Amino acid sequence: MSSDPVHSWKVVGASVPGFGHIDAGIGGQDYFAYQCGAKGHFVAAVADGAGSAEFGFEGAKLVCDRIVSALIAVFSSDTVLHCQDADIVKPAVAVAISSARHELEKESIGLRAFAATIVGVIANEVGGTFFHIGDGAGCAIDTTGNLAPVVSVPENGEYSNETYFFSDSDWESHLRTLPFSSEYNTILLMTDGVTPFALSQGYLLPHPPFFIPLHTYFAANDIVESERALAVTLQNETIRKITLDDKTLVWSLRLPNERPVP
Amino acid sequence: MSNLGIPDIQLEENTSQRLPCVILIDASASMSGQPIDELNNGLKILEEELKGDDTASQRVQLMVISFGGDGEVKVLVDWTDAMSFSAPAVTAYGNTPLGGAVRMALSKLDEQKKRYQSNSIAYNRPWIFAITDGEPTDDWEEAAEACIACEREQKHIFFGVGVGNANMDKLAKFSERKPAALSGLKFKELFLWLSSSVRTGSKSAPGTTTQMQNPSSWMSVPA
Repeated sequence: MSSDPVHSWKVVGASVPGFGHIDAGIGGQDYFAYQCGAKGHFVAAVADGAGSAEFGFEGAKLVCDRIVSALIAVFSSDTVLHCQDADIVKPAVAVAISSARHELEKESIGLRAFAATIVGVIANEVGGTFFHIGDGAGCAIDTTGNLAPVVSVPENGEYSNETYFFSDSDWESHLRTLPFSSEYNTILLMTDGVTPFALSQGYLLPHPPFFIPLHTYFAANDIVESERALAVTLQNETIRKITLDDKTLVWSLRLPNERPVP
Repeated sequence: MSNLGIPDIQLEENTSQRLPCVILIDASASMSGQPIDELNNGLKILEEELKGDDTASQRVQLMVISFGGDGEVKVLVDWTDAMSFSAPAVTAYGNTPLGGAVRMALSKLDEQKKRYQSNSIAYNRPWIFAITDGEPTDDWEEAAEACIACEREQKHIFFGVGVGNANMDKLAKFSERKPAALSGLKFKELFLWLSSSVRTGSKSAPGTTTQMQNPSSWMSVPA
């Protein structure tokens, strides 16, 4: 039996439809999923179904669920795998995406109908790795302030309404990974509806006046209250001028030992 | 249940994506009189419509270029956010240097894209919107070839609109998209359509395509 303490994670997430979808009376196309494994792993993914894709939400949901369950299974096996090793994480994510694509190909309506971006993470007490296709962002933050944040930044085409999807034929060339070390105890994942107001300096860093109050509130409140407040914040009318897109944000904090999650 | 959000949170306001739109206006002699008056009224409608839309007024950037006179191609309105756009009064005389106008539009778009890129400003694919009632009187063929080549490389989207006796065959050489013929002098309807379309285009999120508005209100269809 390992003498290392098993770390657990406090996770707060919310997904709200954008003003564009609300005004049109239709639901959002973002989705997120996460799981904490028995060995202290945390796996999460957020996906943004493309507005031009007929079944973007379904694609987003399937690929998120598939990746999360696959990574939890792989990293919970008896073999010791390091989740900050991108050479291990990337092929595992690729296998899960291939599996989702294979399943969707059976629908015979073309993968394009299920287009979605993905940004996700696997982490434990020794660090972690982001995996990413398209826009949205992942941020790993050292809340002691000793280290600069590690940010998996959005990837767009030349034009702002062009990005990359797991359903693209060349999706593997756009699957990026970015590892981070154990000092980073807080992780944010967000879709492109959140990046315009949560990131600063050209989408390269988390915006401190956004992140610090959010982190303070989530650390001090229980998950139910935190998720309620997050959903309300993401639906604030002042965001309308910034973006009309769906908005999804997942915050996670690694807790030492087996401390109960408040 | 409380309807309060996270206290003290402040949002970053990253610069909105931009939709650059160049409007090329035929100011040749044949447009003088009622056609140019109606066109000028249409430009005012475009100004009002875009200013009335919070998002489009911040995201759409306009440039207006006129072509006429003695081979004159003039920037009547340099790049301007729609919220600050003031419709110019176009006067019509002389000939129809459409080729020169298109060359200038391509060059101005290249410059503007570089400006966006150096300032990390996201942008949508630019639009070039050309209105003419005649046929080009300059060496237009090379400009048409350059225009259609750039469009194939997805550098812009070109919309040609022919008024009255416009040479639609030559206008068609500037784009793979068939030019539209204006019904009578329905400039008001044309600019309402344009404002509605750029409003939609300026709001397109990643992964979406812009659904153009139906042009039936101003477009004439051959019998």
